[in-house]
Amino acid sequence: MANDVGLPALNARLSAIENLLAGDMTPAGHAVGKGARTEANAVARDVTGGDMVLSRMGRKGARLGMRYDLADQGRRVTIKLAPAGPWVLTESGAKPHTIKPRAGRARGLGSGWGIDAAVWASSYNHPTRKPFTHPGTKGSQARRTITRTFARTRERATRDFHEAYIRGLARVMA
Amino acid sequence: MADFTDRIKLVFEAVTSDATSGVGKLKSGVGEAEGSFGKLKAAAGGALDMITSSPAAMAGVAVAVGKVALDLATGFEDAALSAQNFATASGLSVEQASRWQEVAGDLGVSTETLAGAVNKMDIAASKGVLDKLGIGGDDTNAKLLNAFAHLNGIQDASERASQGAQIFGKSWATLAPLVAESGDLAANLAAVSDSKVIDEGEVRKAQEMRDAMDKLSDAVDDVKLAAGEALIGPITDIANIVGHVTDGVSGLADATGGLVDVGGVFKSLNIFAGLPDVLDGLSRATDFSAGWQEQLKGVGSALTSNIPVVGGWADSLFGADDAQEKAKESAQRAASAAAVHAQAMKDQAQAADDAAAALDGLLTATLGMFNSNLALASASDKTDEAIAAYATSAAAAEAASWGNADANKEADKSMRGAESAALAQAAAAAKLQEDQAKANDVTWNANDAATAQANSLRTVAGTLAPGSPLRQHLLDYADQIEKVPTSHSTTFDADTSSAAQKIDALSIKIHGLATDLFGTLRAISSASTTSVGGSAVITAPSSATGASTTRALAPVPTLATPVARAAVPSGGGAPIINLSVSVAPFTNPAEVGRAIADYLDAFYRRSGTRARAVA
Repeated sequence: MANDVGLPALNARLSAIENLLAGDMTPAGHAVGKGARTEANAVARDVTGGDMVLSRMGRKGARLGMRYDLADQGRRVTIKLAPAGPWVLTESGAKPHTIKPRAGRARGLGSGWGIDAAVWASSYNHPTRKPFTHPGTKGSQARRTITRTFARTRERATRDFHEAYIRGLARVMA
Repeated sequence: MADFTDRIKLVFEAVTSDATSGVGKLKSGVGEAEGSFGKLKAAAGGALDMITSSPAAMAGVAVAVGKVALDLATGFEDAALSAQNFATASGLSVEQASRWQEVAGDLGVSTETLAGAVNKMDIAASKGVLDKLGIGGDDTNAKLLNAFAHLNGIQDASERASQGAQIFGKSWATLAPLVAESGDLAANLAAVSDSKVIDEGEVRKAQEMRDAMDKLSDAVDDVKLAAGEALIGPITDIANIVGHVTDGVSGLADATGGLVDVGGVFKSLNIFAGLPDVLDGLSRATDFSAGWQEQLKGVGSALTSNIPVVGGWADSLFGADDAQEKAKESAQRAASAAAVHAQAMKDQAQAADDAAAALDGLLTATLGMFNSNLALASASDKTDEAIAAYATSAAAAEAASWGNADANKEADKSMRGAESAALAQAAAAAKLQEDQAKANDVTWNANDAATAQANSLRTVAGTLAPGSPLRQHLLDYADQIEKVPTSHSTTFDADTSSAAQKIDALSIKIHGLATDLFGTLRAISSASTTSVGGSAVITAPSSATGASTTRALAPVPTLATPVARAAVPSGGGAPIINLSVSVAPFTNPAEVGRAIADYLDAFYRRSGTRARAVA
């Protein structure tokens, strides 16, 4: 096709481009989503020390996760940072607030024992059952994780979409 | 546990509808152009048949074919429209006009010249000149042929010129080739190739072609506008924090103060940041001054220039250049441009650093100048005060006819103070000028400083009365300052011999000190220290022979390393053991002695004789 000459060949290529623009872009959407995951994980590793988990949050720690959804044949990519709690905390820190132990698990299932509600507090060497006043982390812990992730993702997504279209154009024109 | 899932989202959306629409319009425009081109090709006879013949069969010459096709098309379009214009101006039919264009062109007569001549002939005919000269004809074509034949039949050159001017105007001579060939003109006109004869239908098709190209350009313009906003891959982002309020999240939001500013970091995306060539191609496509061939190239470049594989496709299609060669050259140019760009960035960074340094230096110099200005003003004030004090005290002394010792002393003191103040002012003035020179990047040397100080002193002296002693003193200072040489050299001769002696003496002293540390062993070693040739030695007498042995001391070690050397004299009597011990200064003598005693114990255990040192 590359050696074709004349306006018919040009028109054929334009038709192919038209189809490309209106066609399935799922691979491009996945490329954008994967790129966004790379960037989100990089930011999460940076703020957590590498494991992407805020270990003192909740019983098992809170992971800074990310996933994405595609729609409209890959043209619409929704980047989701989840769960929101750790992302928000590492975005702008936390104001002072009270942490209360959750209700203990009820006895049941023949176990004979429930689990005492408790939280970890920095001034105790063990979980405590009393409400604990978190002093807040605003300032030093405001790591702008969401801002950084979105900014890096935006830059990368633009490039990924562009490259996907260029690859498509190359297939059409080659 | 509160549900934290999916609360923070960033949405990218590639909107291609505008681009698709623009490309559709472009395709439609190309389709129309294609149709018009096909008609044009058909109208031009077989000359353009090769265009739509099998591209695969012409793979080797495809590039050239593309160019030839477009050249022919351009020439045909020009010829058709030119014939149309000629026909309109002359009253000839389009076909007759195209035949006359061809024949006259072969004889070196331009279409414009012929059109002008025919126009004048028509005017002459309307005035009855042709009838008067006996030139007939049913239409313009016949009249034109008859006129040339008539002129060719006149033998008298003067008469021919006269009648030629009457028919075709003063420039009739430019038609001389047609007059000379008048006998064959009719046959030549009839013999013009069909491919070069334009009829009304062909003119209409050429006009359609032109209109189609205009539409194509308009379509390209539409695409360009779409691209300017966001063509291929435009992305709109919707960055927000979705506020599905649950207890946990809302409480958390209260705790964190919200994130309403997060979305503010996202601006509209421009995926075309990496497609400058596309826009360049589109610019070429809509540049009407370059002709529609170049415009078509621009269309192709816009669509392909950002794709390495087919980067040269557009120009190859419409030009005679080899695509691969052009792609290679493009890559080389890109590499060169990248290198130049990198170097330019380096230079720019260096220039920025230099500029910052220069600015910093200028700022420093300017601030220094300001400080010097203030210092000069202060010094000047002090000088004025000192001179005033001198004037007062001198007046008091003068009043006593310099017979009052106290007044004289006070006057003398105040004069020295005034001199000191004037000198300080001179130094401040020189400092100010130096700072000004630095700020202006002017070289400043010692001679300049001396001149500045001298001038300052002379200025102050000028404010004093001519007979004032202070004035004379200041002038003397000025003269002396200017006599100070601008450079001075000083030679230092270093005599190191005494230093070497001192080093030797120090060495001996150190070794002597080390020796003194072994007070408990003096009875054994009875060592004495002398100095021989600048090096320290210990001379130990032998109790058996009375002779003495001399041993040079080893360099003082950095760690205490007692070395015991024992010798049993060959003669009888109590054994005399000579020990030479080198230790570092300030080593604990007890530790050294204990170590040596251990060595001696080991020696005696082996020799079977137990003897302790005699205190």
